[in-house]
Amino acid sequence: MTYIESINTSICQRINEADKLVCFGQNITTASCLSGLTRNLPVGGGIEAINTPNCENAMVAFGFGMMLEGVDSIFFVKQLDFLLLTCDQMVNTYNMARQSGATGSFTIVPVVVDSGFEGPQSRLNNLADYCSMANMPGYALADPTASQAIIQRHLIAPGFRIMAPSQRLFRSEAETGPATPLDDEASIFELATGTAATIVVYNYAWPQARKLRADLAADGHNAALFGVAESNSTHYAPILNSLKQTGRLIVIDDSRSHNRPADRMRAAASDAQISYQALPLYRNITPDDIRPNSDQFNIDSKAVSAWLANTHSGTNGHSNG
Amino acid sequence: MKDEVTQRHDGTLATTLASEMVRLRLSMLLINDMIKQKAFSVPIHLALGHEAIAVAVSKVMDDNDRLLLTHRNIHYNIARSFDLSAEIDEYRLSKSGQGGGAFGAMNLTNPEAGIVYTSSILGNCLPVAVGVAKALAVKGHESATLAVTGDGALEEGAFYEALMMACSLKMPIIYLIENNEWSMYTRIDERRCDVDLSGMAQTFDIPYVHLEGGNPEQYVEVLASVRKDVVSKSAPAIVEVSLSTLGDFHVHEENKPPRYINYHHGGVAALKYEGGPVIEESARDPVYLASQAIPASQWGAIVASVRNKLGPADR
Repeated sequence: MTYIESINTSICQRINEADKLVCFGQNITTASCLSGLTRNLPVGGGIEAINTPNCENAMVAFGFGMMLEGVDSIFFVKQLDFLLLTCDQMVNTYNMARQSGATGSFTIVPVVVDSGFEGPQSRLNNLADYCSMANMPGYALADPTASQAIIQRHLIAPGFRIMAPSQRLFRSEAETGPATPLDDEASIFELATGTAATIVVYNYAWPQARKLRADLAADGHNAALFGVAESNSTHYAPILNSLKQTGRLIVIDDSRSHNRPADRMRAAASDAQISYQALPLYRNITPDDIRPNSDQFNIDSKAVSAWLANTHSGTNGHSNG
Repeated sequence: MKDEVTQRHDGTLATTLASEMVRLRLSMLLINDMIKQKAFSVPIHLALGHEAIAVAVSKVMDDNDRLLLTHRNIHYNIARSFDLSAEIDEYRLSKSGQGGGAFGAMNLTNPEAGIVYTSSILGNCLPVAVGVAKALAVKGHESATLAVTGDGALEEGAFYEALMMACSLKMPIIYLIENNEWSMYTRIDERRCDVDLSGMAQTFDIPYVHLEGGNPEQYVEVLASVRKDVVSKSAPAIVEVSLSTLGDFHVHEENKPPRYINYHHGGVAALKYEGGPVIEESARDPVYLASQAIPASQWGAIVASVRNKLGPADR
């Protein structure tokens, strides 16, 4: 089973449990069904699927309108950048919907185009930036196991959120490894335990983080590994508790967001007066970067292993890798 | 609400509507006095001159109908509620306000009266109405959704997208355009090309109706017919109403020609509650037109009755 087949299965299973639901989006029941994301939606009874015209602003408003009236809906979107056309609804209408105590569920499932061959346009690997506009809950569906828990908990639940699969991961293997939710909100997951370092991964770099953790273990460094799925999550306790033990933090974020959730977590660690050394692994974003390119995010495991070997835990100050 | 309005008065429809228009007008003049006294921190957009369409819309709305509004929503909110104190308290951001002090003026709603959404963003409420209408259909209600906006919002892409969605999904929505010919301080002919709304409706193969003249009885008759049509055919319609937003004035400066200023928001210095309800003895003022259509003694009784119910001007 591939990653997208697993996500699709989790979505269909959750929809099957609903009584009334309006699914909508462009081409959601036609051709490839958004490359498999919306294949075999269990339509019938109270479950409806609508192939809409191309008017994203109105489509987001459509979802919020139903939410105001207590009717649940899911908007499937081929690319996150399509939602740039909807910023007014995302901010202003969302603000009104939550202020009004709207009881319906509205979930937007956009695919994050995190490969760079689209060129200057149509790529927006900035889920955290996007969700920062109105402090929207935004879940990166980076890992099939974690995604199953996220979809089960949030796909149809009162309120609004975005949950976004990664285009790059579509054809990857669904079998990745364990992911244990550490809170009721399925916002943070424990992927591995260890005391050599605390690795925290954001956005869609979970496969790279799992590989790094395995490579470090092979070198004798058994690190704890946490995956943070929700960009606005403030559930830092498990991470900070681990960091107190390890004194070494490796943060991984393959996004292009400048609103990095990791920065807020590190601020929380500083507020808690935890002494640690840090190795942030982020993209090196340059002006040439918007040319069509593979946009790979690779981690040099040997360099990280060397950093661990040469870094004492629990020392003062934060270094940047 | 429709029955409630009817039950409050024993007279004919014309008397009922005239009384409601006076209530709206005097309520807004009362609030205007308070704005001038700096009673509120929130910006308030009065709708003096918009009374005829507001009372007509309120009259034709059924229990399960929904109304979505803009920042200039005061006339509909008053038309749909008889608790002016709650509205004033909302403007004061008090917990006893209509929205618990959480919405202020530009986003004031009243879900119990069918006003489920208001937006201060031009054109924003138009596509939201499609979702509201869809939700009512999912719930099995045979009802109409009315989305009110101004002529300025026609220039937004949201208007086109909303029509596209509403027509494609066959939603029973009345898009009501209050055309006062102004977008803040710029007239239509100063800011944009002509837009043929009837032609636009024709493009989408939906009805277009134009209202003018400030006669609420006629508006009720037409709106009731349009409402029946959109519900039975499950398709949207466009209704455009021509009106004037009163409160405009001229600025006179030495050695300069007088400058005309359109009213947009805030208090109107020249108007007072005690001086109402008629603002202007012209066809621009629907309350004046109503006063001319009713015997003077009856008109006087209506005004006195409304003033009595509204209470003292000093709040």
